[in-house]
Amino acid sequence: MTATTLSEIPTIAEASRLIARKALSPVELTRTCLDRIKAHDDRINSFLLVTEERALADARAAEKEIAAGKSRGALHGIPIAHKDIYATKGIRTTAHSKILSDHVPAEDATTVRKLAESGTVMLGKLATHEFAMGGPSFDLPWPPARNPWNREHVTGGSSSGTGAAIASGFVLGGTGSDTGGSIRHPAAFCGVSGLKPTYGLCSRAGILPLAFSLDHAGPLAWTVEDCAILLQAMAGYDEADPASARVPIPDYRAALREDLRGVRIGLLRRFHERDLPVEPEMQAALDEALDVLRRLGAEIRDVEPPSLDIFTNCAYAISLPEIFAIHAEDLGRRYNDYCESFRDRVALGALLSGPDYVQAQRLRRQLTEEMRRASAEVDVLVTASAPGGAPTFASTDKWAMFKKPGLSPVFNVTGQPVVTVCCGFSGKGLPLGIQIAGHAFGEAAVLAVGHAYQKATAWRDRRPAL
Amino acid sequence: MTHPEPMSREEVEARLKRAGLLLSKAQLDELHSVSGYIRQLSEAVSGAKPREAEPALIYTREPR
Repeated sequence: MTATTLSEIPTIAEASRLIARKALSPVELTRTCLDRIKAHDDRINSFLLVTEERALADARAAEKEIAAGKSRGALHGIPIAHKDIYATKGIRTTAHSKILSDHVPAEDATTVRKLAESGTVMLGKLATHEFAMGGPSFDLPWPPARNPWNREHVTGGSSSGTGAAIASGFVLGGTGSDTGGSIRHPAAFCGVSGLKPTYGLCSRAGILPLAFSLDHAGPLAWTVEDCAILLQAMAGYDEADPASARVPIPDYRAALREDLRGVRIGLLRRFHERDLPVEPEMQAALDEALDVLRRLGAEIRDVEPPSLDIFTNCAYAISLPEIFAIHAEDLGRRYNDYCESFRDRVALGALLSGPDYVQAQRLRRQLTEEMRRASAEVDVLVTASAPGGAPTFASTDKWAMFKKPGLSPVFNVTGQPVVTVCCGFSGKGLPLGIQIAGHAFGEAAVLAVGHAYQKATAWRDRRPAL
Repeated sequence: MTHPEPMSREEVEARLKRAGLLLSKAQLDELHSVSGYIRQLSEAVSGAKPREAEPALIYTREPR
């Protein structure tokens, strides 16, 4: 099989099945991805570095092992790439920043190592907003990734390159990080699937930190099933991460289902109708998605948590001082080597006081408990991922984060797992997304609902025309 | 959309200086102009809480 057109790019699950029965060669699949990157990425800018030799070496090794009957599982021979805040041994890891433009780590991040041990093929390093915040910015050493559905529109961030590369069919999956929505925004705006796991489920060791207590590592891929496959490799206790959780890791793929009988869904109506009213076409797409979930057997009821405003304020009162603390020395010496949107936002962290930070962490515990109580009688929660489709580059505003609450930071505050899936398209042809959140370490339930929704709808059949 | 009432110029300059940031006048002007957002954040998170309300902790195990 040779995948020469975008519609022929398989999902991880499809490729895995084909590779297992020797109908698809990992080397051939990798070459197809590399060819696509060469042909199109000069207009998408999803990669900061393509590691072609490494990719082909990985693919040949996978092919040899599989031929010898030594399969490593569903990810064996699958081309992926890493957000450029994930440390890759011997391979430049820049955080898309001048500050680390020559940084070459001595070790892999734990999740990079685990994915490599699962047999993945590493194609390179992907664009991000600087240090997973800021951007999209044009005052960095590399241009920002562009949305493959419309290049004048942003990808969402900060896992911008991962979202763009998957939607473009350059890779079958990739890694992201999420401190305030950085997996879910690019998943929604690029029309892919993205999972922010529970805080502590996937190791942060070796991933450049943005804000320690809100950072989550997780996968993005075309489908929820593919996210489940990637999560299986990424999840698990890691002594090198002080926040890593000692919890059993279930078989996420085995938990996927195609009907939702008996599933109770809590609708976070106040978030997308009152606190941050979404655009009419987003509301319509969300309503249609709820109809699909009902037809699959789910029962939907309203859930009333605290307001988006208080969650968002809490998130920023924690993240800004944490980010400032990490970058204080470099901001003092090299302020103008950061992009404007990063340095100016992060500098505001110096205006918050010690008591402000502690009060925010005290509030966080209260909000998490209130959310737990509000959702105690349901299995998962649903709301919009964003007010609408991706905005244009021209309409981005450095201070927008303070002007309206966000739909994403709430789940960084609570640490709950959330998957974002495509639920339709705007009138301009841009993807729209919904969030499906669960209880702590309830990834299996979240993935099950997302997978059932994707199987019941045709949104996964539509790819951007590059 | 206008920004909220800023913090005092002196307070903004003092806090940025204490944090080790040496900024141009234009940069200080801009950060001062948006400092009201930080005042709002501070007010939002500082509401009354029970005395025993503890902060959230990220560590899930005892340090070695």
